[in-house]
Amino acid sequence: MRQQWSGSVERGLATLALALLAVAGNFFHLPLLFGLDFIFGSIAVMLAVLLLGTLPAVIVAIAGGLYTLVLWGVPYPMVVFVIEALVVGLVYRRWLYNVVVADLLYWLVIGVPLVLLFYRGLIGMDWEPTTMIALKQAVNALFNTLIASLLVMFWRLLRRGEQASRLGRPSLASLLFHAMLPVTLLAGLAPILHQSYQQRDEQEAFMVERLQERAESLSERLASDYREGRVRYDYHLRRVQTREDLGLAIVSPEGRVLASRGDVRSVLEASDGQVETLDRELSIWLPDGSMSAVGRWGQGAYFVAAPVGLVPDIEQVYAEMPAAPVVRALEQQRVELFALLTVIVALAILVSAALSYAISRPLRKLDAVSAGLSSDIAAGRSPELPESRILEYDGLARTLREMSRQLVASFRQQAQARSELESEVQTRTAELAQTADQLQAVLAAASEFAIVVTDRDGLITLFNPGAEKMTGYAADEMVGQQSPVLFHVPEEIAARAAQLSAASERTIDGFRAFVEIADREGAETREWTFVRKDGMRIPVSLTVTPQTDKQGNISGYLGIAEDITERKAAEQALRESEKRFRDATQQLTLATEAAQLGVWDLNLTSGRLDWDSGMFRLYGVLPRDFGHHADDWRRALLPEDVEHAEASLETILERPGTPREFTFRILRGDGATRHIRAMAQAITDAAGVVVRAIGVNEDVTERIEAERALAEQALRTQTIIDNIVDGIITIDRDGLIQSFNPGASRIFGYTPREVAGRNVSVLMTGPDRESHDVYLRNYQATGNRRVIGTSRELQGRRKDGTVFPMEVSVSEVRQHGEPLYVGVVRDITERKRVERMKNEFVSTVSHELRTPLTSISGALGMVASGALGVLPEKVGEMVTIAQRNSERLTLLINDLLDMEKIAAGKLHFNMRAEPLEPLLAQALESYRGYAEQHQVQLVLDSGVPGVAVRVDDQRLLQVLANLLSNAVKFSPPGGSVRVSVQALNEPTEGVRVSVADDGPGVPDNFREQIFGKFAQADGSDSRTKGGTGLGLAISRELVEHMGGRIGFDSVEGVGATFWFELPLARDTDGHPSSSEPGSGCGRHATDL
Amino acid sequence: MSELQRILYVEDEPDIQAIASLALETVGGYTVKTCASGEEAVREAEAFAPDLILLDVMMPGMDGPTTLEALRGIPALVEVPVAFMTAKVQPSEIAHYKSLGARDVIAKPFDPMTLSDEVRRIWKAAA
Repeated sequence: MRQQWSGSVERGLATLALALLAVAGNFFHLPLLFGLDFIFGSIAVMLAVLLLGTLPAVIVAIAGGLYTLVLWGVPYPMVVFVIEALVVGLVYRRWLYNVVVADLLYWLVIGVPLVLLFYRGLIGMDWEPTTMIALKQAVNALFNTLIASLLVMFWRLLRRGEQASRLGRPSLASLLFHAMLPVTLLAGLAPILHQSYQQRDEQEAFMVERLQERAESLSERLASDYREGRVRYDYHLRRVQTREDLGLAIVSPEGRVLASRGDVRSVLEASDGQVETLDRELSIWLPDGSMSAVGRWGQGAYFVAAPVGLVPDIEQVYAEMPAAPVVRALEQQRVELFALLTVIVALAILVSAALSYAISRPLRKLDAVSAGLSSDIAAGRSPELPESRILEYDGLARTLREMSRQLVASFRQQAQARSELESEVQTRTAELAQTADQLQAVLAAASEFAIVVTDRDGLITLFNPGAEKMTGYAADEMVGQQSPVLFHVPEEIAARAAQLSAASERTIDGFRAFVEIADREGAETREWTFVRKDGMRIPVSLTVTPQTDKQGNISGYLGIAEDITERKAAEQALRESEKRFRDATQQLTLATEAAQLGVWDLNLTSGRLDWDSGMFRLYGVLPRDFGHHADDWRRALLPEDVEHAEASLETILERPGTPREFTFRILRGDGATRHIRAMAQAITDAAGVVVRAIGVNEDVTERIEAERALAEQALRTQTIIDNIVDGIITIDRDGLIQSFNPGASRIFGYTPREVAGRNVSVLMTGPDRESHDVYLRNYQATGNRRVIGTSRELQGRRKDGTVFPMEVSVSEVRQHGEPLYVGVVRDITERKRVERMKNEFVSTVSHELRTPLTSISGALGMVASGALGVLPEKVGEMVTIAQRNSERLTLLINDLLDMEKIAAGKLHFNMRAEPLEPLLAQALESYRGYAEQHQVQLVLDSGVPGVAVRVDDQRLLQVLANLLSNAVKFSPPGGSVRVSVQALNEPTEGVRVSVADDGPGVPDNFREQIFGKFAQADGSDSRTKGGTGLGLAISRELVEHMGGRIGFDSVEGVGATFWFELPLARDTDGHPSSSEPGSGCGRHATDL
Repeated sequence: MSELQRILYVEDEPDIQAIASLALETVGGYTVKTCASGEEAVREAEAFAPDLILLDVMMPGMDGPTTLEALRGIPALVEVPVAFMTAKVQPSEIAHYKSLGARDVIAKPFDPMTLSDEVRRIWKAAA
């Protein structure tokens, strides 16, 4: 955009400059031929056509035309020039790239006819001057166009590089045209100019000859008169003047005209003009004025001055003739000359154009053909180059043709060579790929062998799948990064290195330990231990071979390792087997002894029975009492088992080769009956006849008795479980039901078969059902218990879908290392119903009691107050008793309601962080009147000012009221009740609020029940002290609900201190919050 | 309404009604209009133009809160303070009654000798 704009500015400025140049060019004019001036404004116009374009050219032409308009006063030249700029601009830019030819065409077709039309047709000038003007303007314009074209041509030739290519390089044709035209024109102009000047010279020579002759004639006549002494000036003048337009004058030495005849303006009007001496004799007088040179010339006069010798009075005589006839004659010739000049110019232009075109044509052809030369050569085509009749062109074309042909051949050769090379590379690549594939397949297939290739320094370059499998390392993490040292035992390498170092007397370490021998001997096979990535060690047999390059230099190493774990194990097993075999006898003896077995051997051929020491021990028989006969054994058997034992033995002897087992009882030598388990096998000889029987005996009495006891125990347990009312369900670690007793069946309605193996959650309902598995897993993972080890009330679901409350206790047992959960389920529907009924009853009764009580206490209050009239003393006393007891009944009912709410879980606690001290003060304040009534002083002693507790303030006040009421009630008159606060640090941060009194203390036998319901130490007390016996029970519930605990310290007869402890309120950071800064230090007491 | 004078007392229990109105008239010197039910109260209230209304909570038919709502529907009584008389005086229950629009709650059983003072206190607090 910016560039475009700056381009426009540049063009504008250039147009302006050329416009000024056009004016200047028209101002400056050069006389060319007789009376013809050339002007140069159209040079600027043509420069604009060539450099800027048609529109700027028109603007420049208008500027130049304005000047001619002012100068000559006629608009026609301007019109012609402007149309010239327009037409030439268009023709040059559109069709003809030769501006001179374009201009010539303009003048021939439009310019000259236009001038003729304007000057002859509109002004009415004569044909001759009109033609003259038309030709002069055409020639002048063509010359100017040529000059402009030459200037641009030179400018273009002078430019180099980028600038030149931007402007466009001139073509050869153009160059030739521009070179040829001036030469042609100059050649054509010279004779015309010469002829033009020659004509003038001829005219003037004729003139000088005539004037000279007249002047000399006059001079001679005057001289002759003088010699004769006569003076006849006029006479001579008359005689000498042969024609009327001849003027004569006689001038004295003083310059005075002595006589004259005709017009002698050169003498008489010398001061009104100027005299030019043309040659020695002839001079011309030209009048002054603003006329053109030709105009002045036409009105001027030729004259000759001849001296007159001898006559002293006369200096010179003048002969003068007007120049007009000469000028007319010359003008007539000038038209011809100009016509000729115009023809020459036109011809020169056309010839130059044609010649330049013709001469450059073969080169243009060559250029056109050579443009496709490179692509032809690249494609292997022989280019067709034109022949020329001109020697040089033809030679150039021939040379190019030859070069192209050679290049084409060379290209073809190269292309073929390349194609062959590519083909060979492809073949080789395919071969290599195949080889690599094969190698890869081999490496991959050798999965039982670790194949590792390293470079000279041990860096791994190949790590096959077998190696990955054997070492546990991936090829990616090994290749190019690690040495095999990574998966060897460092100590093993060190030991081998030390061994090799010692043998070769130089230091060998690290990777060299693997390859030292292979380097020297070509290969080495050796057992090593691989350390797998997971740390496992495996013995391997590793063969290392050096790899050499073509020059025989070692380029790396190939290691192939085989896992020899199994071989090692087999070797080990063999060794162990041999050892076992060696120790067999000894071991057998040891084994039988350890197992308390007895071994017997019956030879059927000889009938001899041999026992080892174990047999003697089992049977309680001394070897010396043993007769080595089968009857010895038979005698030891319990009579009722003889038949069975013998039959079993017979069976064994009938079926040799198969060991058999049977049991029987014996009567030992010491009289004890024992259970014996026997194992025996018959052995045959080569003929298949049973010749021997060998066996062992084992005393299994304890085992059999234990089994029997166990079975009885199990039966008993099962009977209990089957008959128990509660449901007993066992589940495994996944929550699947393992057993389901008849009690459970009664409760849930499922048979054991229906639920065995199902998830126990089928017996649950609601959220418990969904969360059970998660809970169980969470418990197994973390040990967090919720149900296990405790009792909980849950909702059960029967087979028919009904839901019922149940109490579940779950305990965990371990069986075969696996956890087993035993749940005892009790249907508590009935219990719940009774509880609910009880609570509803208490609630209803309490509310119903309260309504009449309101009336009673209100009525009594009215009567007792005396507001309804003064009562007799005895009546007043009775009414007071009734009123006091109605108040007590109210308190009792309130307490009962509180207890019921607590029990039913309906009591709402609005827990908030509350400053403790104001609550204590409020409680004391509300009991001040009561204390004064009992003449007891209340003292608040807060050791922890500003502390806050997390409580329901109303409930806390209720607790304080109970404790204060008790303390005041039990204090003697004049005593004091002290409320104090202490900070607690252990086990958790909290405060203890104590209410101490000077009363009789708590009797030792009452300590246990004091926080129970309706607990009062003494019936008589209850009458004198009042109270419901529920206060402390309620207080305990309330304190525990608020996360605290309650208790008392008392020495009977000295007083009691009841206290409760509460946790501190915590802010969001978990720090105890306080209601004032700097709390927790200092003590202050408030006496109320 | 410079001084508390006219009290509308709604209570279904005749004995309590008698004692309370006696206490309010004798001890406090107020003009007391008693109604035995919520329906009666709604019928009579506008004509009586009370300075304060005392409402029992548990009544057959319209209970206390329903009665309060109905009374609030009578334009002339919109500004008249109302207090409940009930045995239900747990903090949460008191808060509930206040949220219904009651000025305060008087606990049952009440002390007939201080009832008048308590009523006056509630009226002054509302004024």
